[in-house]
Amino acid sequence: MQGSSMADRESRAGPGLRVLEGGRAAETDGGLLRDFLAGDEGAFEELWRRHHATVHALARRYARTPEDALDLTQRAFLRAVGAARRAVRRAGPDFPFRPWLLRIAANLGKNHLRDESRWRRAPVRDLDQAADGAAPADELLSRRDRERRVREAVLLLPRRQREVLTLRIDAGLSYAEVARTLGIAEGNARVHFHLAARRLAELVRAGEDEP
Amino acid sequence: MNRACPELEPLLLDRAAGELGEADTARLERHLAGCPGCRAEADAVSLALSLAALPPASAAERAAAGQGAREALLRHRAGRMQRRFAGRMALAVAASAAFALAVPWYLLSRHAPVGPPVAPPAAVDAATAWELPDLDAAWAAAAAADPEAFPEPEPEMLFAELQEIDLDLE
Repeated sequence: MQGSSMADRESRAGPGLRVLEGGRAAETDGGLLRDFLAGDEGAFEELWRRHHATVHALARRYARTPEDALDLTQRAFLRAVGAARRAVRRAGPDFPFRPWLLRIAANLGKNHLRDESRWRRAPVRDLDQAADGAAPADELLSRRDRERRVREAVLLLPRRQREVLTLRIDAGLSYAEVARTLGIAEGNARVHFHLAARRLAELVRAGEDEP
Repeated sequence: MNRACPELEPLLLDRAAGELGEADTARLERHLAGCPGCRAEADAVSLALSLAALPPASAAERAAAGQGAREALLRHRAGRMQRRFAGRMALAVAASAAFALAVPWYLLSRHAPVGPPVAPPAAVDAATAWELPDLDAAWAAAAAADPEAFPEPEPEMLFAELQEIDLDLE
């Protein structure tokens, strides 16, 4: 019986992966999701352990405070597991939970931005930390002002450009992962990143030309 | 102002994204060393992305996020209970509405004419044939009744009843 259980877990984990005794490190996200939907809360904790840092990094972009960022992270997880119920039944342990989760997090961030009318007060200001203390005060001020302007510009980018850029620079995803997450071609993701980066660079250059 | 070489611009952007392979990176770095336009463009893009990037999360933020699973699960349970409650309320409202509609419908359907017309029952005939009685004659009949048939109550009996009432009040 135990053998079949092990085999089952190993098949869920995929070939080449071994299940550590007492841990769930080798279980697939889809398998964990299925377990959670069947009532296993430990499976949710494992999913959280795996993906919360990426989602949180993405959520910080749209949040005004650390509390907002954590709230968005939690809502993204809850929405993702809730909405996946039917999909995971069809796809089973191969369900691509991570792209699903990140796409939901990006959408929630966008909605949060829409609903949050005060975001224009530099949404990330409260999260900001002291920059290099060795820099002169006016230089520091200038750097901070430019950060604020560029970060606001990020939020004003066209939707797809913003999604691609934030998945790249906040969540740290490669072009290929960004493409998988958004359900677009990798070349398409690259083009959107280029457009976004070029636009921000133009903004920086325009700021430098100001007296 | 020197401009970047147009054919290399995508590579400059990939370089800023950290998506350039080793071979391309080496080739581009050699080019950048001798091309001020591309160098300026590369610096501008790198600066823009570094300004756009958020500062890393503080230790406190990371700790709070790491421990957020429990709270998320509590929210999940609360949401599930709320949905169940809402579902039951909806069911109760639907049942009440169905009942409220069903009762009048049932009553109306009971009295609605069904099938061919039938003869009215005898009670209906009696009601339609009823006439106001002769009240003067009825009064005279009452006055002629025997008064002994309705004797006055004895005082002792009244007193005993009164005592019982008092006892109840004590």
